[in-house]
Amino acid sequence: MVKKKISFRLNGELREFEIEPNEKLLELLRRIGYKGVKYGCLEGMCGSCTVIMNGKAIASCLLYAFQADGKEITTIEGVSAGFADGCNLPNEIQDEFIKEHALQCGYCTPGFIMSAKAMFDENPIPDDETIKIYTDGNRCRCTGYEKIWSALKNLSEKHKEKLRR
Amino acid sequence: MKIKDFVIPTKISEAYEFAHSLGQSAYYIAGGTSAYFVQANAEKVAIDISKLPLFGITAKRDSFRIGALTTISDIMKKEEDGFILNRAAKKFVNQQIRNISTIGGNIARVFYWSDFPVVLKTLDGKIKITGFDSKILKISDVFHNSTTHKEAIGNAIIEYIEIPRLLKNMGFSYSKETRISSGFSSATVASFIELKDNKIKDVRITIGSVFIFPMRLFELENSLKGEPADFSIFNKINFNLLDKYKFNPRDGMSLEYCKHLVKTRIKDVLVESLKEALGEK
Amino acid sequence: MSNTKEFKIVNHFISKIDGLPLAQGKSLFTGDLTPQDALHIKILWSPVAHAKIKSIDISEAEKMPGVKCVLYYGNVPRIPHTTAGQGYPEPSPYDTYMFDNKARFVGDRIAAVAAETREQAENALKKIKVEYEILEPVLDIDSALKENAPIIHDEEDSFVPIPVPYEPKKNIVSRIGMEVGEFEKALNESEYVFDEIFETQYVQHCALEGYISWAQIDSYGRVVITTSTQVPFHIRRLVARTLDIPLKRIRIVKPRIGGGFGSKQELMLEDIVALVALRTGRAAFCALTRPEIFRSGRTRHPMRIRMRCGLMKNGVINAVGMDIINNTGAYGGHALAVMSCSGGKTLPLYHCNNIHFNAVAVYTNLPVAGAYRGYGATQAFFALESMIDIMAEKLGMCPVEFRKRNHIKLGEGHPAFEALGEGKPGAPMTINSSSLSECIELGAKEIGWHNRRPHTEKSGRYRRGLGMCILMQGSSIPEIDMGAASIKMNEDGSFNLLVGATDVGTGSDTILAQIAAEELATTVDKFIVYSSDTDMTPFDVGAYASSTTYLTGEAVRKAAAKVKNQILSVGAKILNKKLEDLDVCDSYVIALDGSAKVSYSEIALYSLYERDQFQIAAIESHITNQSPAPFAAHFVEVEVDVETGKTRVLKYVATVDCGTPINPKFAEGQTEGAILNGISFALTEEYRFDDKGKVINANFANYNIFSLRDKPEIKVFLVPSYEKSGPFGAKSIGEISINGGLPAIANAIYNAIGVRLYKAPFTQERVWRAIQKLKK
Repeated sequence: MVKKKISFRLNGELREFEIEPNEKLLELLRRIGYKGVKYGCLEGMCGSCTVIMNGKAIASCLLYAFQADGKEITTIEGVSAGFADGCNLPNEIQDEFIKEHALQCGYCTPGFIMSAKAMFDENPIPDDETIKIYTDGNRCRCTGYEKIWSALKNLSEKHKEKLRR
Repeated sequence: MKIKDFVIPTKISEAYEFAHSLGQSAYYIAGGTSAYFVQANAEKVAIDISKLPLFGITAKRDSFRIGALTTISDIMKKEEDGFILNRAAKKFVNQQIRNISTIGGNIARVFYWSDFPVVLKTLDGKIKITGFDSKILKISDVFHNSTTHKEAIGNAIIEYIEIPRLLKNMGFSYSKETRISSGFSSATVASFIELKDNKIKDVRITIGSVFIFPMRLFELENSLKGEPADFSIFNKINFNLLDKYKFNPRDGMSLEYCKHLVKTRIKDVLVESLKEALGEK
Repeated sequence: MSNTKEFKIVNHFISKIDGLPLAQGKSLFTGDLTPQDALHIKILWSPVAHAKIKSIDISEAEKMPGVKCVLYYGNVPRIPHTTAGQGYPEPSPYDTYMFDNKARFVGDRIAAVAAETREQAENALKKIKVEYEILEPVLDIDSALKENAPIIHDEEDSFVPIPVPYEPKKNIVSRIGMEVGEFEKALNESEYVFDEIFETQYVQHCALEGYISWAQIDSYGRVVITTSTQVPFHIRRLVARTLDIPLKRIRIVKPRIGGGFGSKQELMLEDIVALVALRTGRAAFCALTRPEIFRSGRTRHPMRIRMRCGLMKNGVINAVGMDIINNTGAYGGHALAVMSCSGGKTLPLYHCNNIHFNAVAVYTNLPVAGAYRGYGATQAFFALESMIDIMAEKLGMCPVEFRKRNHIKLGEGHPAFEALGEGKPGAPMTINSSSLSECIELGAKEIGWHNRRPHTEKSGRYRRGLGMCILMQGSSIPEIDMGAASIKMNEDGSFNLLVGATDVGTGSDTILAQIAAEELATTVDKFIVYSSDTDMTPFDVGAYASSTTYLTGEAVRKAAAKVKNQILSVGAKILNKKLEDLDVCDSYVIALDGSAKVSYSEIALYSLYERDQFQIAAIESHITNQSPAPFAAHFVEVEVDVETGKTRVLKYVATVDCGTPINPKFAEGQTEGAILNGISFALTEEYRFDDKGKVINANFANYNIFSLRDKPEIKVFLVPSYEKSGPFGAKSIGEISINGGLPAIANAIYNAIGVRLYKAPFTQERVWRAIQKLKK
C-alpha cells in the first residue's frame, strides 16, 4: 500500500506524518504515542477517541488520518494548565472532574474532557440543554453521568461568576 | 471499506474529473462518517472534497441556501426566523458526528433512517448538482425515489440546497423515534402545513426509516388540502391510505406496531405543524 | 469502635489517587502499554450457532505474509476448563476447550491467527478453510429442555469439579433448590394466591474498555500477561490449567482497567496471547472490536422466573416460591452461583415461613452468560419486587407500608442464607446492621410519595406514575472469598500498600488507602498503592461479589494494625516509654500525657538504619463467615405515553445503607452508575437475534445505552448503619443498586397506567401491547 505524507498542527506543533490512506486518525495518533486517545467502538458512538479538530470535538475513529491534513488537532495530551516539576498541571476541567469524582475507571474521561473543552471554548457559560447536546456523543458506564453533569454545571457557574466580577 | 489512496481537490471541476475517471472505485469523502456503512471489502479511492468552497448558510428573502459541506452542527447552531433545519440537526446522532457530518453527505447517501432527506422532501426547494455541467433541480424530483436520486446525483457533486423560509402562515414539525437520543431512527416523520384563509392550502408529509427510501404521502396530503385549519380534522384521517405501502419495521418492532406508531406520529407532527402555522407556539 | 466514632480519613471524600493521570490520558491501560512490535492476533469466530467442524485447513493461512502462528483445535492442548474466574474448585462445569471441534454459538472461537500487522492477520483469517456440519441449533430454553433436544455438550470429558448435578445430555448445566416449611400446603391454605411469570433479556456490561490482553516471554522464559481483568489470580490459575504449564511460570499484571461490571471476571483472551507468545517467542496482543465483544463476550443470564406467593388478609406473606430457568448460553460458567444468588440475595428480604426455591440452568446455542453486576439478584428482584406490589394492591395496602410490615429487620435471621451457597451450603446469618426502614422513609419523602394517586384516577395521553422497591445484596462470598494486603514502611514515613484486590475503576485503591491511613493515623497521600500483580502483591480473589471494601478492606485494616504496633514499639524505644503510655496521632507516636512525640519518618529511619534494624511491615489476610447485606430503597417517577407506550423516567431516588461509607462520594458514584445501568436495562437494552441465533444489534448504534442527554434526575442518599464485622463499619455498595431499575420502573408504569409488565425491557411496543390487552 502506498504511504503518503500529510501534515497538521498537533497540540500546537506543526508536524508531518507518513500515513497509509486507510489509516484512521485514531490509529495514527495512538501509533505515534498519543495513548490518551482511547479506542472504544470504532463507530463514532462512544466518544472515547474524541479529539478537537479546528475547535470542534470529533470522533477520531471515524476520521481518516488524511482528513486531518492542514488542520489543527488537540488531544488530551495537549490539555493542561501549564507544566511544573516534571508534570503537566490539570486544567480547570480536569481539576473539576477530579474534585467532583466525575471519573471512575477513567477510560472515557479523556474523551469527555475533550468534548467539554470544545464546548467551553465555544461557550464558557453553557446552559443545561447545551451541556446535554455537547456531550451526547460520550458514553460512560461507571458514573451514571451524575457527577460529570455536576462538574460541567459547576464550571459553567464558575465562568458566570468570573464574568460578573 | 478500504481506502487505497486519496486525492484532495480544491476545485469542483477537479473533484468531478477525478470521480469520473475513477468510476466505481471513486468515493467522495466530506465528513466521512458514512464510510462506516460501506461494504467492508470494497476498495476505494477517496476524493476528499472537504476543501471545496461549498460552506455556509446564506439567508435570502424567502429561502435559505445551504452549502453542501455545511456541517450538521453548524446547521444546528443557526438560529434565524423561518429556518427550521436546526430542529432536525439537534436530533442527528451525536455531537462528534454532527461536527463532521455534512448535509451534502447525508443527502447524497440516503440511508433508510436518514434524517435530512425526510425533512427536505417535506420542505421541498431546490438542489444544485454539478458534474460536467451544473443543474438546479427540484428536491422533490431528485428525492422522488432511489432511482431518481441515483440518476440525478450519480458521481456528481451537490453544491447546495435551497429551502423555503418558513413564513407566518406555515408550520413544520419533525419526529424521530429512537430508544436513546443518539440511537438510529425506527420511524422518522416530518410534516409541513401552509394555511390560507383559515384553510389548509398545502400540506406535505414524509416518512423515513420504515421505508427503504423516504416516502411522501401524497394521497394523505391531498385528503387534507382545503380542509379547515382545525385540529379535529386530524381525527378523521383515512389511514387506510397507508395500507398499500410495504413497511420495514426496525428496532425489533412488529409490523402492526410500526404502522400504529407511524400513524400516531403523523398525527403528532400534523398537530404541531398546525399549531405553528396558527401561531400557537 | 462504635457508631459515634469520629473518623478522620474514612467517611470523608478524598479524590481518586489515580484521578489526575487518568484525567490526563496517561498510558495506564492494557492497550496503552502494548509493545510496538507485538504480533496482532485476530480470532475466527463461528458464523453458525451449532455445528460440528468436519475439517479445518490452516495451511494457506500459515503461508500468508506476516503470519507467525495459527491456532486451532488441532494444535492446542485439549483440556476441559471453565472460563469463569471463581474460587477454586469452581462451581462451574469444565465444559470449555481452548479451541474445539464443535461450534456452540455464533461467535464461538474457531481459530486464531497472529501476524505482524492487524491487516495481515485479518487477511490470513479469510484463508482458513472450515467445513461445518450444521446441527440443529437450540435457540431458547424451552427447546433446550425438550425431550430429544439436540445436545450442545455431547463431548465426554466435560465435568464439574465439585459434587453438584450436571446433566449435559439433557442440556442441563446445574440445579439448585431449597425448601423451608411446607410451601405447597401453605400456598393452598393462603387467602390469596398469586402465580406470575417474569422474564429478563440478554444484555451486556458495555465497559468502555473492551476485552484486551497481551503477553510476552521475559528474560527468564516466564510468560508475562498484561490484561484487562477483574481476577488476576484466577486468570493465572486458569491459564496454567488451560495451557498445561506450571503456574509459577505465569505472571499476570493488571494495569488500570476501563470498567468491568463482571464482564472481566472471565478468562477471555489470556490463554490465546500466552500461547502465541510461547509458540513464537514474540510479544502478542489481542483486542476485541465492539461487535466481537457483543457477540463473543459475556452477558447477563436471561431468566424466566415463576413466582408463586400465598398471602393472608392480615398482610402476612404465607408462602413464597421462586422457580427459575436460567439460560447460560453455550457454556456454563457462573450458572450455578448466579442462580444461587437469585434466591440467596433476594428471598431473605421478607419474613416468610414457607419458602420454595428451585432453579435449573440450561445450555442454549446463544451467547455465553457470565458474571454481571447484581449477579442473579437483578433478575430475581424484578420478579420478587413486582410480586410484592401485586400483593400489596390485592390487600389495598400502600406498597411502602406492605414492605415496611414484612421486610427483614435488625437482629433477624433467614433460612435462605444458610440454604443457598455457591456450590456448597451458605453460612447462617443474622442482620447485624440495617437502616432499611430509614431508607424507605427518606426515599418516600424525597420522591413525594404522599402525592401518589392510583392509576384509576389518571387520564390524558401522558400519565405519570410512582413506583418503588427495596433491595439487598451481600458483601463477599462467606467462607470462600479471601483478600490479603501487605504494608511496608519507608524512610519518610510513607507506606507501600500492596493488594491483590483489583481496582477496575471502582476506586478501591483509594478506599483501601483510606482504611490503612485511618488505622495508622496518617493521611492517604502517604500511601503508594499497587494493585495487582501476581508476582508482587498478595493473593486476592478479585473484584467481584461486592467484596473489595468489606473483605480486602478488613485485611488492609488488620495489616495496618500490625504495622501500627510495630511503629508503636519502635516509638517506645526511641521515647523510652512504655507501650501502654503511647498512641498514634497525625503521623506521630505520642505520649498520652503529652510529654513527648516522635514522627513516623524518624521511626522509620531509626528502624531501618539505627538500632535493631528491621523492616516495619506486615501482611494480613481476611476471610469472613458472613456476607452482610447492604440495603436500599429505590423510588422512581415515570411518564407513559399511552398512545405509543413510550416510557420516560423523570426522576429516580435511591437511599442506600452500605454501613459506613468509606468514601461517601465514591459510594454515591457507584450507586449512580448502577442506577443508570438499571434504568437502561429496564427500558432500552436488549440483544436482538436473527432466526439463526446471531446477534443483530452488536454495536453501540443499535444496542442502546444511555448518554448524559438521556439521563433523568438521579438523587442518591446514603443512610449509614454500622456493620461491626466490616472495616470501620463498612458493607458493600457496588452491586446492589443495579437491581432497582426493573422492578421500580415496572411498578411505576403500573401506577401510571394500570398495566403490568412481565417481560423486560419495557420497550414502547411492549408497553403499548400491554395497554391494548387491558382494553380488551
